[in-house]
Amino acid sequence: MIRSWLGGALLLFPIAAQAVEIGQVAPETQGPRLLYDHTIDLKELRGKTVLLDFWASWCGPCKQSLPMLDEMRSDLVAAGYPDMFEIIAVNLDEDPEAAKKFLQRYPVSYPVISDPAAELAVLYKIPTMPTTFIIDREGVVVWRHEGFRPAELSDIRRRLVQTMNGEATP
Amino acid sequence: MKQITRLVLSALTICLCSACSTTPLKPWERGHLAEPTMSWEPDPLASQLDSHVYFSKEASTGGASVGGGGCGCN
Repeated sequence: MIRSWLGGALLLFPIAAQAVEIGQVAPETQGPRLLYDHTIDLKELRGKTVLLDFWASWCGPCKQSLPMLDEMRSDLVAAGYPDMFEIIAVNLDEDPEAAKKFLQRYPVSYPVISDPAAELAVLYKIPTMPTTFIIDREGVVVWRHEGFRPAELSDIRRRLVQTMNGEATP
Repeated sequence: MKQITRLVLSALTICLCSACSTTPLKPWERGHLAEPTMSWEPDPLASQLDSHVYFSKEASTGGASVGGGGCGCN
């Protein structure tokens, strides 16, 4: 009897949700592009390394990360990696207007998916804001980064370049 | 004795169920917590000046700051 009660009691505890693991194929990712009238689908970017960045306008570190990622993107394009990668941002504001205002203040040159219902956030089980994933040419998640500090940008860049070059990202 | 054990186990099960009733917010659900009105000190400059006056009067310093609102992201 005790054994069956213990079994039942264990079922009451929710199993801790883990973020998308390294080595997993990235979940199907698509959504409407913010400020534009078309849909972005990650599948169309197969063959390119993708940096997927989840953010929201109310997130303090995102005010630093978006402009810095945009600058990094421009640098990498100038450095000869124009067709090898793309940055895709996923905005999680409940009100897309807040995201649009944010982007007017901090404009970025890369596409931003609007996900007000947080469907992609649930799919990727993001643990904090912001969370960044690097997805390789085959669509496999090779790296995940939680939060953002300006000093971490060089590490993000190094791992992105390594992935573009087909090297492992330890 | 058996009945008492059953009663105790039932009470424990109910306690466990009630422990699951509070679901923490997901990281993307903290927008309202990050609003300036949710901050302990909505006006950082005014609170800094108040602290300066207070610590000068009390000849003490430290222990008065709380960072951020409730979004858990800054």
